[in-house]
Amino acid sequence: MELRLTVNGEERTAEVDPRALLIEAVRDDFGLTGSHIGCLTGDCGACTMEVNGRIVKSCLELAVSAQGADIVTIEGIADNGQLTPLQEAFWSEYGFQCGYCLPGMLFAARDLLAHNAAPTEHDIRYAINGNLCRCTGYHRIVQAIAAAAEATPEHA
Amino acid sequence: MIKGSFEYHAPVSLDETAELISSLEGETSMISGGTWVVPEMTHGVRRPKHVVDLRRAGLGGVTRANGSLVIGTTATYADVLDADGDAQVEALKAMAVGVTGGAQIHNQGTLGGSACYANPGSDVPGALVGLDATMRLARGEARRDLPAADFFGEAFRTVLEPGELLTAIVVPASSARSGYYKFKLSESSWPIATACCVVDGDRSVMRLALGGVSPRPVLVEVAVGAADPDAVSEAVRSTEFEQWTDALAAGSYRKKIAHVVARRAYLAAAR
Repeated sequence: MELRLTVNGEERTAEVDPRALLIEAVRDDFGLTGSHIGCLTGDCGACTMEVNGRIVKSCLELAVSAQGADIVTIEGIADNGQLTPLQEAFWSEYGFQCGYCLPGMLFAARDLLAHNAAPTEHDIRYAINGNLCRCTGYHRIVQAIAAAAEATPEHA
Repeated sequence: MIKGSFEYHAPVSLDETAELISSLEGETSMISGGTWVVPEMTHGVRRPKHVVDLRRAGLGGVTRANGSLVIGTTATYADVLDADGDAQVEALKAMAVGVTGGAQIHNQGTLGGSACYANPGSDVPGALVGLDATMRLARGEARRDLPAADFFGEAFRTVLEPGELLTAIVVPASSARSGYYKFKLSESSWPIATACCVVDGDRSVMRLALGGVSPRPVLVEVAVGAADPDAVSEAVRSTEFEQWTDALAAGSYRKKIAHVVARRAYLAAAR
């Protein structure tokens, strides 16, 4: 089937199999491999992206289900290659090691900060409860998100 | 890529959906949020001949009708959390907040899908029975309503007939207060036992349902005028029900803790 999407602001089309998951179409048919495939059960969150303004786990959705949707992938969150304050905070606070969970963590954190400019540690931990990380023990991720909130005065 | 092959259908209205699924032959899977059906297909647990995607069928959204809350089958947990709520909806919101999997699952998972999946160890069935919700069903041109308490059959089974679908869940208007409590083993655990309790202005129990402890939700009979946690505990202890065991917990354990879970739900409602 022909799948039409707006991907990171650009209208794109691709021929996709109805059996393809959204994450598979984004990686294989649209060539954006920054979003990762982890568990394919909806547990790990590595495939998280934004669809029509809401973050979703893109392994839980058929690609054809997203027909016409406006999608933001991890490649689309930084303007012109300039890291966002959130990405900078993950970098400076060592908020990742292997980086596999990172795209999903960034989307979960971005979603939190869009709704809550001054999150508590509990808020942060709740916000990332759908994203698994096997390297950091989460501590540095929580620190990174807290640092990003503090570094973004327009959110305060 | 999902293995095997299926025909994909994306009907664009309730009438078209009802007509379509009553005419399909062979195993049919319905996608509401997709959070169970899609991974089950990915992992080969489910191999349908037809996939009916409800997302364009106009069955989403949370609306008010005569004060009642009408939750479309494809309305998500996030939609419920965003809805204006009267007192009775508090338990439903408390339930939605506690659904595991992050904002992503709140944005994707649907109450209707969860009800139809009817996993005994899940939040939605017990909450709907506790709130005395009505399930709106359609099959071809026929429409019928069922109380949630009559909707759940054996584990992972509802009383939906072949070719029939859930179109909406109606939570009745009420000024009563409600409370929800879930006991789970860890942040990412499925519920071990849940309780949903509705109380009147005098903090007397009007309705109490347990989830997770039995293949289907258990409606607990509580003495008229019971207005303290001990009476709630006693009512749960003296209720007989078939036990539910899965990989997370034994039925005997769930039964043992059910009264504590119920009293916490009561305290949440009566606070």
